[in-house]
Amino acid sequence: MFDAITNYFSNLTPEHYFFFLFAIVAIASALEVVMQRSPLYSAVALIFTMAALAANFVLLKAQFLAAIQIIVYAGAIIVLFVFVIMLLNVRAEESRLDRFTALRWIAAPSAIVLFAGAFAAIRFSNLDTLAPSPTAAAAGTTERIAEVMFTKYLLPFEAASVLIMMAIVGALVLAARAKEYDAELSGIENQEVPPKPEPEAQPEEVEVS
Amino acid sequence: MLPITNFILLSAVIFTIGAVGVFFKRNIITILLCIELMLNAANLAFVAFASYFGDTTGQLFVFIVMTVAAAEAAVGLGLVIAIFRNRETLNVDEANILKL
Repeated sequence: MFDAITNYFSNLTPEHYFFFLFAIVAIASALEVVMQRSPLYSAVALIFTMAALAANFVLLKAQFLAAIQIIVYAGAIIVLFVFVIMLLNVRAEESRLDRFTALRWIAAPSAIVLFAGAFAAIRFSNLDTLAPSPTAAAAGTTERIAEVMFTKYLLPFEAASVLIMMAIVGALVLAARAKEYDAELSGIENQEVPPKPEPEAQPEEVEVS
Repeated sequence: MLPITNFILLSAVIFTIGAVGVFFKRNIITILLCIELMLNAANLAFVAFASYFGDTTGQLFVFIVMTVAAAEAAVGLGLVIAIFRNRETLNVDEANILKL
């Protein structure tokens, strides 16, 4: 055991140091996501995880995905989360007792079993014998990904775009219906809708001002 | 490059942390964030194997996963807003009936 550790540390390259640095950042910020009580801080910690994983993508010579990870995940998805958190004015989690405390006692062992299963799968699968591919650097370029995406995998690409379309419509429908029900609950829909102002009157006002 | 085991182990650790978050947290927004964490861990494994096999397909799948994650975030946050407007809470245990 100790020999293995000293062997491991005797041939460390700069790549190792960068991997360990970003792995520690990723794990620490992932823990922070789970342990923070305020969802806003969780979202900010998740940005750090994304950035550290993007650095790992660069170590794996997937430059295009590293850029996309920062732009799409940290730049768009997390911003969407932060928008919603601020829109809803969410307070920090109340520290009152949860209803399903028994569930938590099942959750901890199942998490341990999950990691043990993953660890055993990695340990007994001879992954270390997998040599790095010499074409790895060529496989991660924008050019190569575009080539594969628009020839062999055109159908999944189009399916993804249809999915995004459906998601946009679905999100709009959800938000609109929620508003409708709100109005119904507060009895607004029973009141008379005030008539809209005449559109012809507007140009005159503009001319006067 | 480093042995692939490093990346896969990191992926497993982050996935487990995300799963623990889904198990333990009761705030629906934090649960969605933890799901993003799990998707990211899966992405790392995809990229690691794609890079070690010199195959672009795995990286393309990561691209598709990111698309699905964006769609999931949009619809999920729409649901969060809908639940919050009706229930005034983000606790998932409170959202336990279908009636509005």
